[in-house]
Amino acid sequence: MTFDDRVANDIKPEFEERMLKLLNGDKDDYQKFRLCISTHPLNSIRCNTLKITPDALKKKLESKGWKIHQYSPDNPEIMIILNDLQPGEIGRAEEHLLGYYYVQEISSMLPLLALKPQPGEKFFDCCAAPGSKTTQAAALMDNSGMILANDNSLGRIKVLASNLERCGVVNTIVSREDGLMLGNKLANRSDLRFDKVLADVPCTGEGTLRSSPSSAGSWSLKAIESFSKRQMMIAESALRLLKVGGLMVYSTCTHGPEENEVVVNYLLNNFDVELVPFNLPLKTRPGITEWGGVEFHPSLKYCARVYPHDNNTEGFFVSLIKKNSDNKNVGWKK
Amino acid sequence: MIIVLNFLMVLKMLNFRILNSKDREELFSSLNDTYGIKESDVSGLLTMGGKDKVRLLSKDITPEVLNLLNKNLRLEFLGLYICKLEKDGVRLSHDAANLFKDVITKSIFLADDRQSKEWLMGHEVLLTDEQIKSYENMKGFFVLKNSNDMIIGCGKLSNNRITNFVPKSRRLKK
Repeated sequence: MTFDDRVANDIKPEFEERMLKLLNGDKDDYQKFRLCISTHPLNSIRCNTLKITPDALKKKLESKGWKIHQYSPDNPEIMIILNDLQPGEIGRAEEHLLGYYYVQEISSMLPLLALKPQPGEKFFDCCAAPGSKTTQAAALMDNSGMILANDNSLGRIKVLASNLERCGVVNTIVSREDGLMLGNKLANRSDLRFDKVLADVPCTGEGTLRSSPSSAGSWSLKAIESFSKRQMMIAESALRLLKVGGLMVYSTCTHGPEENEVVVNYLLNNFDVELVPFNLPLKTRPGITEWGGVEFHPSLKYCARVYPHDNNTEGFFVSLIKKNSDNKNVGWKK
Repeated sequence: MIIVLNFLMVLKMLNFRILNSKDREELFSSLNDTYGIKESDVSGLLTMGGKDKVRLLSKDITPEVLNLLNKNLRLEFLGLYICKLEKDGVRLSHDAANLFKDVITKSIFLADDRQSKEWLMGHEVLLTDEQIKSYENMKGFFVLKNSNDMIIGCGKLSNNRITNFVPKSRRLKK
């Protein structure tokens, strides 16, 4: 295990205080968290089943001398490379260039494992670049149905496009719109609605300190508040494109409740939606139902909090939301 | 004002056309002649955009939905780039060569390990003496396959060498 002092040196007292509170004041638990975020993350990849089977890929990679561990029997496409590799070696490999796998952190695969898009469905990914989840959805949908993948940055869309090509994806249309506006714009102008929606929104990235240690230095409460407002608007806009009875995942790679439960609570308060319980192939903790003296909807316990030290991954938050009707303001308020 | 707005709407629309049955027939006639790919092997919507590039979309994406999205959103990218119509034939894209690997029956070049590595690094392939005899009097587009049965792209054979079309971003680095 290699340690990265940059995180330890840059962590701010307010961040520590909040994390300790999220971990129910358990100092031992917090120490495990601190220790974990100071280490480099595992090398994980996702087999691109549009091009190769997990067994065939495993054999190819093992023939190069890589030691491969398949993460769970139900998800053989998720693999961990156990060797110490040179920096960039996974991205430079022939199998990667041919699109046989996607370099993706395990926690980042979780939203799609909860949402389970099916072949033939219509799927909307509102903040899609760089495309890890879009390509994962395409594989789960067996390249059928339709994916509308949106991002608002042309630079990021170029990376998304390159990843879609490399993975051989044919069921995706990419748009460049502001995530805040797209849902409202399309919903007002057409009857097109989607079976599944992914709102994996931009966030402060508290969960990615292992791979991006520098983000510890730029952490601030102000940024969290600013992201939270934008996240509510993006989630609301995305929800408009979900068909009645359809499922939406709202997810982030951060821990702060303002960017997670507060946003989901806002949706529960203002729209006819409900949270759906789901299982993931790793340890999760329930969403919190109170923060800063504010009580949330009791069903927020159905959200999944993923802490780095629980599974040796990055941190993540995942919620699965079902739309019951297009009505507004029928939800729970407190 | 309305005319200006409409003009701006048209400007921002992605420029493509959906191939009709006659276009498809012509395209697959060439694909079949060169690679053995028949129309029945490929299901889905085909579009043609700039630079005569043909893109493939899932059969579940209808022209109506595609046009609706293009009218209302700023589209940047559709499906997968599969081939380009050139003066001397149809050039398969790097990724289409892989996508159609099970139905490609013609114009396959078997590259040895050295050639495969050179190819993936972006270099042209120089044919060995033995290959020169095997591919004598042959030229045009070829799909390259390595000794592990992996499709590694599409190139153009002429004068005992195969021109490399592997995209820069997809090349092996030393």
